[in-house]
Amino acid sequence: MKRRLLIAPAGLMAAALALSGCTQSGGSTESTSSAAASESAPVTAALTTVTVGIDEAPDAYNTNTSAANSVYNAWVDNATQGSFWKMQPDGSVKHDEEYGHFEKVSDDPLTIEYTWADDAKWSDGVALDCDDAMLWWAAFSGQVVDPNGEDADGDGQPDPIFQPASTSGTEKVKMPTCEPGDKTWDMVFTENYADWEVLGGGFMPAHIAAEQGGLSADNDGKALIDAIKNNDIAALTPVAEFWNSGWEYQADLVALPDLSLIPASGYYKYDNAANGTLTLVKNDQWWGTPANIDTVVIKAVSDAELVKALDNGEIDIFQPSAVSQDTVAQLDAIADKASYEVGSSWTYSHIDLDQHDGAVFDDILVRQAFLKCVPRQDLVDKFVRTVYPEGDVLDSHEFFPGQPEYTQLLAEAKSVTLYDEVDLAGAKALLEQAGYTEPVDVRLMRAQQSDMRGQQVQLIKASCDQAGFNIIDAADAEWSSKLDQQGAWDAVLFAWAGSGLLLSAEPQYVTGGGQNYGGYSNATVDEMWSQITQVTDPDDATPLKITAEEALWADPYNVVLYANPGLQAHSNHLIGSVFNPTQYGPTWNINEWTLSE
Amino acid sequence: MVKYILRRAGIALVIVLASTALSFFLVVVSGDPLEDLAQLRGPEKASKTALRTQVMHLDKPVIVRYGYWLAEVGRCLAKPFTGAECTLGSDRQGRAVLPQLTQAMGSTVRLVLAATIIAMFLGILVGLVTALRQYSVFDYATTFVAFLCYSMPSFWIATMLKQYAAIDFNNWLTNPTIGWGVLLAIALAGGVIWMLIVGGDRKLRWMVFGVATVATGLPLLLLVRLGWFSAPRLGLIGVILSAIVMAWLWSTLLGGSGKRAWPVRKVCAVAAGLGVAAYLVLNYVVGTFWDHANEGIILLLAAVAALAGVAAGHFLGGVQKSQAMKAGALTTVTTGVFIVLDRLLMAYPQLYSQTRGHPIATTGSQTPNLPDDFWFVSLDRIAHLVLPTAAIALISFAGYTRYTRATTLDVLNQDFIRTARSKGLLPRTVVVRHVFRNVMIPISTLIALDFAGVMAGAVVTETIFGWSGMGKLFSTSLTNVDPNPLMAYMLVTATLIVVMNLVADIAYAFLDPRIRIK
Repeated sequence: MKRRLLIAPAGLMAAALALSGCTQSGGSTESTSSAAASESAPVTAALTTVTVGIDEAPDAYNTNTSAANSVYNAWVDNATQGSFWKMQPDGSVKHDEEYGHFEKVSDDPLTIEYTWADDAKWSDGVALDCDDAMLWWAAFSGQVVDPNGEDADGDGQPDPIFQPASTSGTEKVKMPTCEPGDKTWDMVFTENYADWEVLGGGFMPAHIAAEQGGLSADNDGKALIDAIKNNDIAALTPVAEFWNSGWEYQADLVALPDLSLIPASGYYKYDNAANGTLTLVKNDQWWGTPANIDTVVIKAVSDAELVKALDNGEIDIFQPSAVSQDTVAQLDAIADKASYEVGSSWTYSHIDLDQHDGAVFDDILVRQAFLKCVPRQDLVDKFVRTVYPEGDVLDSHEFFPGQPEYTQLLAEAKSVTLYDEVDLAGAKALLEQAGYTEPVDVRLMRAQQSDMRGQQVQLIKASCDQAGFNIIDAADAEWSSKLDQQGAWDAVLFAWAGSGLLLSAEPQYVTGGGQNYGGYSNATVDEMWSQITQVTDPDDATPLKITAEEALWADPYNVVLYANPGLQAHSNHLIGSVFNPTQYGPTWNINEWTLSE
Repeated sequence: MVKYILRRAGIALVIVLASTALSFFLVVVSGDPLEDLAQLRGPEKASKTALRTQVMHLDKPVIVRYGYWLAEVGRCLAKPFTGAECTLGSDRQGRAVLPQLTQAMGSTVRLVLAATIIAMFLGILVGLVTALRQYSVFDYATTFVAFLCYSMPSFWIATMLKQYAAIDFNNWLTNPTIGWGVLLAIALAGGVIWMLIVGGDRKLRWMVFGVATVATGLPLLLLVRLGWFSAPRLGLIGVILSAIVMAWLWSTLLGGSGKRAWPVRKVCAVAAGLGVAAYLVLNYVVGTFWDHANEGIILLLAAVAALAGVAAGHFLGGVQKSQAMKAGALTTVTTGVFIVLDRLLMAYPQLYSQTRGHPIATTGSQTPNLPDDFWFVSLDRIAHLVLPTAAIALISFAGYTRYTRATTLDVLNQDFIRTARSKGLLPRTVVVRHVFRNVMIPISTLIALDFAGVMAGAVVTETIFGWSGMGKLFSTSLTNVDPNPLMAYMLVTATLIVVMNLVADIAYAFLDPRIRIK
């Protein structure tokens, strides 16, 4: 099962999730270990190692490229690459003052001053300084372009020579003006950008990239800094090629590249890899508070086998990409060895409605009727509470349960609970009002491979057909490529993976947005978003979002159903792991883990 | 003959080409290569889509993409002449396929080869015995077990093995004691199994039952009581016993009985003595040489052992020289296996502690970060191989058993067997010389195809036990709708199956004189 960045295709998710209604208790049990591992042989040798089970082996050192940007690589980066900030389980951004310091020094133009700690250095001893910031800018700004380059993305312009996964925000950053050896540099924005707090990460060792690209790394990387400042495309192209693909691992992680090419800047550094297991050891050059555990092994184990591997002591912790009732039942059976936490993940299921001219849902009355008949609570009971008993209907397009803003939204915006109850009579009335006398055909597209989605469509059909719709189960193996084909569907059921960033939902709801597949357009929503993108204090965005949220319920675009349940299990030897519903994986607080007998 | 082979090779080539074309199109239409990017939000979706479209040529028609792939194969074929780069194309992330293929082939061979050989050896042996004891309880019991294994899905067998042979067994190892009831049950089971295999009249049955029950239960009791399972080792006594058993086995199988057998028995006894002497020398005389051994040294020692056995047979074999040389070499080499096993087991306490008391692994092919110690590392590899090997072997064992049984029954009813019996040959000679050899002719076809299947890997077993072999390559690329790695897989397996079919047909002609004469 694949899980590319931001969680599994919902189509593949939890195909095993049974429709059966019986609820499995999911409270975590922190009982102490009764496993008798200590009796006949000393176990001290292994007690300095923690093994993290992962569905798919990490595939690159540089996780920022569009090819290698995946949650699997992010799990490793949590341990090996420092960053100016860290996302907490509640979605708040915490500054890592040990790594360095950053603060907003000006609002106009928006300017952030970054300073690496004095002794901040790569694990090969080379200092983190200006050349790393310059390489970061060159890679992420999308402004280093070969005028004669190819145009693979088809926008009529030559592509930038670096291929980062994302340039959002960073494309608004001006080139830093630091000099070789500087620890401090300014991130100056050409226009305001709300998520400026989360850009200070993804630094790659510039001295390695320079050397591999044929530039000298002497004098604190002067050659590379000059090449970037002079926009010397000829000199930068080999550097970019190395940045794009030179840091990839062999398939299935057979071995690591030369260790001198992959220095770390975090708690751990790379040690070796063999047959899908990656070993990290404590980074002796890490300048902050060291982690507790000496060795971390990242071991590829397929999703379905994780529980058995935990039972057999081969892994100590895992977070599966798909959670089913079965996983929970298996974990309950080994409660003497392992504990688990369940919660709402930041991936949520929803139904988008096509409202282009002439489409069924062009008429707001039909949309409202559909919202009234979708059995959201029923879906939650059958597909969420079987795993996570506290799960509930999702009432927000922006926030997730567990975020303080979500609670605030429920308290302040009354319209968000408008459609919590199924109202078949009301739906019927709305359809009549819209002038329909015959059942309204709705082609509800969903992933063909997913039984779970199929069962959900049946539930929706059972309810909505009574209200005057005729739901047609449009199972499609190629649903994803049809999302942006107008007229290919009337409604589509799938999941979005939320990043918790302020701007992440913008492309779905603004007029003409990149993921606004249904052609939604609402003046209030557009207005709010144009303001949100301009805020420089995250707190200012919340009231704007709440206003947008009210508009999204009054003039609905889609039906948000529920936040998909998430799970994290760990052996009772491992203390300190905390479930993180964001996309950062279980290793987000690896420095706080300890092992006990 | 040459013309026949050439014609067959020509047809084979066409078949391979057609099957690659067919599978390429099937893969391409099987799904959406961009599906996993569907729920991404933000600009990384566009950049990832653009990159993948470029790498996989998704903007070109399928037929053109197949053409690209053929060109890659052509480049590989032309490599010896032009020195062109041979990668077999790239996967959807732009990584070359060839290194992935060689890696996958390597680990699949390690996984499946042992399983196939074990299944073949045991399957043929048991099939032979059930045919000779046709309609006995043993025959029915084996038939039952064989059909059970045959019809059980491999994921089920694998899951059961994980639970009982790994997790529960490991749990037991942390405190290896055994209750009287369980001990008695195991002993009685051993007695019954041997009784059914040996058969014979009532008196013999009871005797075998009694002896086998004690022979199963008593050592088990002793081993548990002596704490053997915490620090297992054969030790001098174990090696001496093994050497004696091996000497008895090979001299009986190859030497015949009565007075004529004496020279062979003598040679085997000497060979067993040599084996025990080698054990003493390796463990107590040569210092750390044995601790620092490696595969090369072991193979070298095996060759020396075989030579010593042959020499013993040559000088002491007398009239039975050729049989004695074979039996002597087999005795020394098989005794050597036990000497190696003894040394491997000595690494067990270390493995136990490194794996936190769970030596039998359920996933992966090795424990990372082991110290550089050949015996330790090898034992760990074996501990990872045990379960997947058992899972694969159980299923193909069933096939071999049934096939061998049927063939043997067929051969047993032939006239020449009756002739052999009536001219007064010993039953064992009839079975080993006349029955077994003829049974092996049709079985060779099965073996050839099975070896082709070895390379195809075991998709389910590899997935469940976390092996990155050919099966994993296949299933991953199919899930990803990523044709190039899958085509590399098809290329290897299709070629191998076609070639092995050819080999089986030709071998048939060579093995069976009747076909040649026609």
